[in-house]
Amino acid sequence: MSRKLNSLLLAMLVLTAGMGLKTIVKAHSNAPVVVAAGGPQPPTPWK
Amino acid sequence: MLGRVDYFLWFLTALLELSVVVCALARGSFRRYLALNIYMLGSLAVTILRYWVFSHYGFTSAEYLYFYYYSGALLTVGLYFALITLYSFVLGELQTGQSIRLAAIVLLAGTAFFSYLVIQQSTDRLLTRFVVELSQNLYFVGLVLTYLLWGAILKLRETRTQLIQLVLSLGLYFSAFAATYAVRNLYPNLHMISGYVSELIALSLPVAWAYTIWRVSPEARLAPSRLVVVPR
Repeated sequence: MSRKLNSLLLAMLVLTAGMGLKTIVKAHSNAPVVVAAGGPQPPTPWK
Repeated sequence: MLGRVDYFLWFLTALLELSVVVCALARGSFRRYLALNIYMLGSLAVTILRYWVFSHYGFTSAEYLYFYYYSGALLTVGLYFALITLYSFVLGELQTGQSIRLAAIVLLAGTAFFSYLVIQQSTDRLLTRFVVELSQNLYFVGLVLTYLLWGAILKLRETRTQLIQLVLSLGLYFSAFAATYAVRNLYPNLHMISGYVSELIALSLPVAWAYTIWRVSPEARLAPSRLVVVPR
């Protein structure tokens, strides 16, 4: 039980850290950077 | 309109992705790093299919646009699971397989839920916004996970050179991705250059993986003292 709770806690901490980092780095920018696989990146459809 | 550099980078990406799989098959590492190789095969398929969609419908078409972002999201989820399998390699001796799987699923579900919360106010193209948001969020989660894994490698004195290099290459890839975001944010006028930089970052992962699988023996070991400087 404790191990499961630790896993959940760790997952939540990683999520918080990741989203916090994104907020710091991205700030007010809306430009998506998706770098998986090849091919030039098209603009997003909502621009 | 695409230039020669765009076509060259596109072709080079496909070639390097193929080289990872060929190197893994030649060195007998395909099954050892199955998730990484499946990700690379998927990435190669997406690169080729994107070219097919591009050549049939054009760069500015809705087909290319949607295929680009939807396939990117699928690949990002694939990379996330490939990274999780590296955790299983490093923490394998601690009998933590079930905990890792649970944490990975909770984290993926949490990231998806967070992505939905971010885009739920949007009125149009909700699903497309969601997949783009999810891809971006998973990259940042991947960055944190990679640094955590590096911490575990140092703590557990992991010595398998191949594994260490694979994790370091992922760390470099995710860090460069985050840095590109920051640069785009600081210097919006450099959009054209940062586009090429993003593609070069995408190239760095297959280059590093192909080199590691081809040049580094699975039995090669690094002395733990070389991984961390012990303060005197």
